[in-house]
Amino acid sequence: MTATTVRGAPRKLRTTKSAARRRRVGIAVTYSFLAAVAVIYLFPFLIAIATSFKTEPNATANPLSLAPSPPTTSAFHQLYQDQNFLLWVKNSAIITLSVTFLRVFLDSLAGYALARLRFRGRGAAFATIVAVMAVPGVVLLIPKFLMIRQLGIYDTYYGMIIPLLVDAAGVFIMKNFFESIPASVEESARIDGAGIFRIYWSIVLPMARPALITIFILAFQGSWNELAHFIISAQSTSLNTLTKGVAQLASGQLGVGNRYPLKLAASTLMTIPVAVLFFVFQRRIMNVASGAVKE
Amino acid sequence: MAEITFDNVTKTYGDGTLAVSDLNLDVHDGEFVVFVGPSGCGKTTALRMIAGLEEISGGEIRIGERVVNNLPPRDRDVAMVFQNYALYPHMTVAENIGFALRMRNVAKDEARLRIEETARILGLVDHLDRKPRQLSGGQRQRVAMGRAIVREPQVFLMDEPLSNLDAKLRVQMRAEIARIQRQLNVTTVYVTHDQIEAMTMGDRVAVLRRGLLQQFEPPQRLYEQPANLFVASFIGSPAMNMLEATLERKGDDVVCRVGSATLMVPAQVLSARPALVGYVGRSIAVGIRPEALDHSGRLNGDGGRLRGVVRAIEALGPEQLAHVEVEARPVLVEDVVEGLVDMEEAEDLAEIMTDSDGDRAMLVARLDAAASVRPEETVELAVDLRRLHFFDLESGATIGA
Amino acid sequence: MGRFARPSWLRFREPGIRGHQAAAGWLFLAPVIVILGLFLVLPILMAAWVSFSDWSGNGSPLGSHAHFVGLNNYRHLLTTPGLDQNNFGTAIRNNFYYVILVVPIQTAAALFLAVLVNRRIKLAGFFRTAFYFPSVTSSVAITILFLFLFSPAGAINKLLSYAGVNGPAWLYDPRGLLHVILGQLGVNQSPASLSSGTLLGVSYWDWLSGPSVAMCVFVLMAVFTTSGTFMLLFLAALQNIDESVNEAAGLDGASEWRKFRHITVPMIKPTIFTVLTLGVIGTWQIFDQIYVGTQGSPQGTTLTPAFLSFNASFNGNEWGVGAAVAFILFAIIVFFTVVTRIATRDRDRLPRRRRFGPPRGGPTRRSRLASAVSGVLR
Repeated sequence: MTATTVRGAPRKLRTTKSAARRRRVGIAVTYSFLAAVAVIYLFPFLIAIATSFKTEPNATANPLSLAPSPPTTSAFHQLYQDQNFLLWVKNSAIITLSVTFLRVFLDSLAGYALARLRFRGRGAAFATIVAVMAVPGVVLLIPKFLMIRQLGIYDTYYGMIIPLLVDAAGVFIMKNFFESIPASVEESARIDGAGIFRIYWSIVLPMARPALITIFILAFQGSWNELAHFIISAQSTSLNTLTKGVAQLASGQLGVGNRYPLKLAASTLMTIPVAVLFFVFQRRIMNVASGAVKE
Repeated sequence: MAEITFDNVTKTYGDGTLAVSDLNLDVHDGEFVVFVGPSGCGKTTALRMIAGLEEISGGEIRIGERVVNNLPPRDRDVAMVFQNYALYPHMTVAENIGFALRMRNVAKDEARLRIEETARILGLVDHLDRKPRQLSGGQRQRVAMGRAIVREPQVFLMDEPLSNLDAKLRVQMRAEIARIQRQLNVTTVYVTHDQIEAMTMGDRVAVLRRGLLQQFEPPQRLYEQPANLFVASFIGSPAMNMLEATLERKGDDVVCRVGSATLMVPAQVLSARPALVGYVGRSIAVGIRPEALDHSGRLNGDGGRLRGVVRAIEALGPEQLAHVEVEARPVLVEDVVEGLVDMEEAEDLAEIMTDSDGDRAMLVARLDAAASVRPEETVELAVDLRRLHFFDLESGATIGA
Repeated sequence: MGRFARPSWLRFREPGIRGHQAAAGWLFLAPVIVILGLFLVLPILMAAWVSFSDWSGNGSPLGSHAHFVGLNNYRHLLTTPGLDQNNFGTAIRNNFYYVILVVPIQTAAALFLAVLVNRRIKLAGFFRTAFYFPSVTSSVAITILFLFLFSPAGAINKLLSYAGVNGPAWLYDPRGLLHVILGQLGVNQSPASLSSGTLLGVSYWDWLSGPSVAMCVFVLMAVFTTSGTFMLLFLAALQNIDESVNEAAGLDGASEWRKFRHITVPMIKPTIFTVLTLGVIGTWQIFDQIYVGTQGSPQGTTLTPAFLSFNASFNGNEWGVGAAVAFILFAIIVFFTVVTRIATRDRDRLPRRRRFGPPRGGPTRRSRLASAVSGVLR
């Protein structure tokens, strides 16, 4: 085969050995980058845990060290005694569990209706829900407060729980899931004489466990970590959730003494439930997060 | 010069699977070589090793005189057509074809010329500004070919490029690819699982099975002189009929007892395969191609008939395939079955398997359309004794010298 | 009768083969629709009314304590010089710099991490988890953590001191980045041309301040907590790319970088747009971290519209102003989202008619081939 004159700029061929070495170097570089970034991402949490066990002077003097000297649990004692930590935990637990279970139920109801039941206005209802997703949350702070006040549920558990039940994303997930399971099972139940709610409750819902678990996890994470809504929906300190209580520990105290071990102990403790949930379900969580927004 | 040499090449995967085992073959400059075999035989792996898309675990691959084991794909000057075409979805046809030229900093005018010419050759001129998703399957396949052609590489590699096309288009494209290759005279390695494609397109065909090279010869020799049971079953459609037989002496002659029939082994066959004598008294496999069977009456001769009952007839226009049940034991070893199943002759396999109890085998005979055979009729098939094949039942190898 | 037989009193009005699907449908949807209406739609309408009123928090805003004042509140924020306008302008400026810093950085970081994690390496799962973990924690916990790390004598400054650098007072430092840079270049104070005019109560010079050092801490916080989520989006998109396309590019002569630029990035464009859009929407809403951390100080350089809206209403009892800020913020978010979408939409190129002339030069191998094979392939 004759070489034509139009081959483009000649390129230097690398030697056989350097190509293999280049590949190994490339992989090593990748690993070191990843390791460095992983350290950056994880080290702060390690510092937080370590600092919860430090004394205040120790925390101030050695902010970087991971070994408290002397180690102490005084921060945790303080949380329990001086602050109302347990009260915060109780409030958070009540609200989170209520929101989670209610969301699972309501979202699956709505999702089923949108996926399987035929009725006029179904499309419009769905479009409305989707449109709702588009309203930025922060814009709704004042509006929601006004309504909560108006309805007389301000400063009550109701006011803190009910507005959080709006969950367009959850309805979306359930609807998509129901659409993906074959309708033949429900059809055979219909032939057998089952009513609509019965089909939903006894047949379809048990089949929807994966999606329900997903909603459960998302709802748990969302409500446990929620702050802004609790700020606007209640003011009594007796209703403080973990987020609000810990926020009060921290806010407005720039320059007013540093009680970092206390604050970091609080932060660490409040993170534990979501962290546990995350590690147990990480596969599922990351699958949802990556597929949640499809373009 | 662009010869390709496989020198004791082995490929082992991390989990221990041996994909290619000690492969030795060489492709001459300008030759069209086909790698064929059932799935998992290592043909695609071997191809990808030429391209540099798979690491070579052992041995050497040379392109020209260069050992390319550690050369990255972009430096090997090979072009590849993928099974799924692997077109760049966000680029137009022109950009797809011209991408390699762009990577080599070919001047824009020069590049445009070459792209246009390639497009003209492949009939893509009207589609140059379209994106792949706007093209039909056949058009996409041609864009993939254009990408390879425009580069004027030393080697063309093709990984089952026609398997996603419908049958008619496939037949058409086969001829075009062969013709283009001949005109361009570029060394080509073509992978397929379809033995018909292999036989019609290749100068030489390498039959692979489970990572091992079975035979590497021109198509005609593969057909006439298969090296073992697997190659014999794999090549040829419909597949070769395999029956168990015993060799016996009858005076000065050697005869082959197949079930209740006796076939004389002609002297010329004996002299071509002297080793046969050593198998007297033993069971062997005898292979008879459907083409070597005829409706009794055409071929003269004694010592070469098989009697059986016609079970099914497939009319193919100029000829017909008769499925005849005979009293003989079929050979159902793995070598044979693997050669059959991949040819998608599953119905024959099913028939054979259901008859595997007892001593009945289903023969397929290729008969003239004029021959009058009817189902449930008893017929006598004449066997062209000069075209008998003999195989060792244990090793599967042809009994030859 | 079967197990699921219905009692006679339920068998009203023959429902047809679909059963009572319409009734059931609405019934099932009812809770969600009601809550949506009650806590999303109606509140917005109420807040809109409040934004046109002078309500100061007493009694019900729908009652006698609120009077209609037209566009007064909006004027106070946008056109009438005064504290409201000043605060609003400052908040917009701060959030603006926050947005244009956070969105590109978090997108690039997420993409970078996704590309690294996507290589066939061991421990990919561990790294994915590590990078995503900050996203599951609450904003309160992260803010407190950063307050600690970035305190003047804290961990970050300690680290910097090891490198011989004197770290700033971070969350106490109100200096704008751009001002600092300009200062290095010798421009230490506002040139006359820029200090005379104001936009929204903030002088042009102050508009050019860039994000304050304190705000930069929040920028880092945002990248820290959201890059993991977006990394997952990018990972999914990268994994959707068929490996054979990359292999083909490799054979065509592309280096790793060129593969990334010409093949990978164009093929994940939709995801890039998604991440940018989500980023814009999210960054314009920053509130929690400001509330927990700095509440707008130092010197108002961490004031954001969301916090301003909250503060004016709940602490200042200027509900009308607060509500107006919220709606203007809504408009801003919609505007920027639309701009982002338009700027990055997939434009399908119209087919351009190129002029194909006859091949120049003598008979090349190409044209020999063409004449030999021409017309055969259709």
